[in-house]
Amino acid sequence: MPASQYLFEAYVYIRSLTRERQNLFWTIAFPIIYLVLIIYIFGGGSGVSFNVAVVDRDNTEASKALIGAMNSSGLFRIKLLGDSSNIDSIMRDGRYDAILIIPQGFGYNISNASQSMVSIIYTKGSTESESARAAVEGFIGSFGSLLVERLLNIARPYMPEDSFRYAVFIAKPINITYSAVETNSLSIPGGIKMYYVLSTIGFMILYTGLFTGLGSIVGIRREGVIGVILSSPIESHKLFIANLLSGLVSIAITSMLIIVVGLALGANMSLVSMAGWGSIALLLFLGAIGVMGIGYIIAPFLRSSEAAAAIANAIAFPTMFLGGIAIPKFLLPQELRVFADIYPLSRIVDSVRNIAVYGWDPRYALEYSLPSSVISIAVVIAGWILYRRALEHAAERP
Amino acid sequence: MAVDEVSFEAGREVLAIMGPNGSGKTTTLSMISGALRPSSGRVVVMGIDLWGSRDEMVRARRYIGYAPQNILFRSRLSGLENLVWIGMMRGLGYRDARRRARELIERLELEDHMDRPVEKYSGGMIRRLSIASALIHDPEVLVLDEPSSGLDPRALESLWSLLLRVASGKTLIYSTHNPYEAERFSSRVLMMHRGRIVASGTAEELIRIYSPSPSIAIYLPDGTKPLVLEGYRSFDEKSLIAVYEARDPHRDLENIVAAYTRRGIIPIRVEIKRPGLGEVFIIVTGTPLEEAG
Repeated sequence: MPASQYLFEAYVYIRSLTRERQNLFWTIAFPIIYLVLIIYIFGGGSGVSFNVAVVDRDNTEASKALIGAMNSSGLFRIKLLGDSSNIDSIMRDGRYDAILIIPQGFGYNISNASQSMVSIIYTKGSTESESARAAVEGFIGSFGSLLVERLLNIARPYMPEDSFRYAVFIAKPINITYSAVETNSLSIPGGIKMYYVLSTIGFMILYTGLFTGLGSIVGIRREGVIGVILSSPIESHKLFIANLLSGLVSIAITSMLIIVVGLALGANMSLVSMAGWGSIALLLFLGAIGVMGIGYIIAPFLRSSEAAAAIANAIAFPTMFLGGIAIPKFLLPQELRVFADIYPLSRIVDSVRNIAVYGWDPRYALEYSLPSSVISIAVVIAGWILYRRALEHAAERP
Repeated sequence: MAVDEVSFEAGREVLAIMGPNGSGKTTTLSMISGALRPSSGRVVVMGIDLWGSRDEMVRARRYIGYAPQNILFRSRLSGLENLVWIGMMRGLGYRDARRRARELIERLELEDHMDRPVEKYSGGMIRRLSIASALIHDPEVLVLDEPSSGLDPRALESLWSLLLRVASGKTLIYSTHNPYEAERFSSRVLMMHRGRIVASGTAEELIRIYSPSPSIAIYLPDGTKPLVLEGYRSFDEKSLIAVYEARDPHRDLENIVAAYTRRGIIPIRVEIKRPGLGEVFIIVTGTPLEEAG
């Protein structure tokens, strides 16, 4: 039996692509509009607050006061890191705009009127990271000035006014050292744009996958289609794969288009090796079948194409944000990140972005995505079982 | 239960399943084409159980070409592309599907329209495309559900002249509620009523066995109603034709016309119709075909 039985749905999809306005819009126009807008809005600048990791080796009231002040300033999203020897590699991952290290003795020095030290690690050349460094530096400077003022206020009754003002003027209780990290990250020109190119692909996978899966059974059940299908010498697994392939073809076309438009808009793809592209393709494939699988699982319970479209939108729209797919997970409020942590496509899209933007080792990315990949495969298998049952059920109802 | 105790065989012939709407024709065709699993009983195609093992199910379906009454073509695709799509689904490679689709389009005289989107096809063209879709993989058994539904008499003749040509040497099983079509184009007729086969045989055999009386058709002018006289059978409100059973056709005709004239109604046309399958159906079921649904 030729491969055509696996490809007939893809044939119809390709043939109707340019003739169905709806297909044309969703496959070509919408992703371009979305990508152009998101790159225009987010692609050139930094966020309003910075992700700063803090390594508190001092763990005293003074260090806690500094961290607490940073946290409540609203300027930083603080994440406390355990002491680690691979601070530089954490920084290279690109998850943080800067890392602040508070060394042991920070609190003691302050209490004993000695100058304290802190270190800031940042990414050289990254607008976001350098801005974060400046923000942390400025904040610590202000924190130090307040500290000095408070301490000097104790001695003020015993000091001449001129000496007091001079002491305030020259005091610098916290000295800052800097360490710059060279990274394969958003600092590369076009890195953030590449980030959004892959986010757009993830978002299109979410929509196209759900629409394909959710619409599969409704499409078959339509009068005048079911009869032709059931009377054809085609096994249900071939029908299923044919449907899956038509969705994948649609995703592939859209993805290639997004990449081309992304390149035209300045996205940088120079970091991705051949192995990286292979891993990206594999991960996107796994993500796509997982999303389609969700659709296949729900599809047998839907009665009309309108219901399928409504459910697809109801799932895709919130999850594109909550899943950290359309926008980075770290931009989400902490309490909303729970969903992104468990949603399979989130990890997959994250890995893909990390390969392309932060130069992650493809093997590490595959390993990182392994739980999500396994879930995707399990979901599509569950979808296939329900799809087959729906077909058998259709053959039993007049 | 939609159908019950339906049992028949078909060889290389044109077999009509005739009956009113709701008599079980479509259910029967769906079961023998593999689209609907019977709750009991078997369907055997070329010696293979159509609802047997997975392998048998696939093998038996290779012999079947089925065109449901309202096949849903992809409206934006051309007739040729729709046939290629169905051909690929039925197991032909892309090139074979394309070659076969072109061949059928020529045989069914659609070549001038093959690249036009199906949404621009007329009803008759859609019917021909449906038949082509059932024939795309060159099946031995062709199952067509009401292939002539909605066609005028001229289009009906034209469709059947093509159909008999392309289905030559195959088994053609189709459904109809038109007794004229069943009588004119079929080698054998199964009459269905309320889910059962109530009569079967060639049209000549059925007419001979049940020897129905001829009928008289009175074509009435607009705004008039039929007279319920002795032998009154039915009235078609659309075409304003009243039908009466005739035991002595010429004498009954005179009496009926006289009755109308007495009431000031002058019939536009009168006709003595030789008995056909419609009349056989009435004798077998006690109900006119058009009222039996």
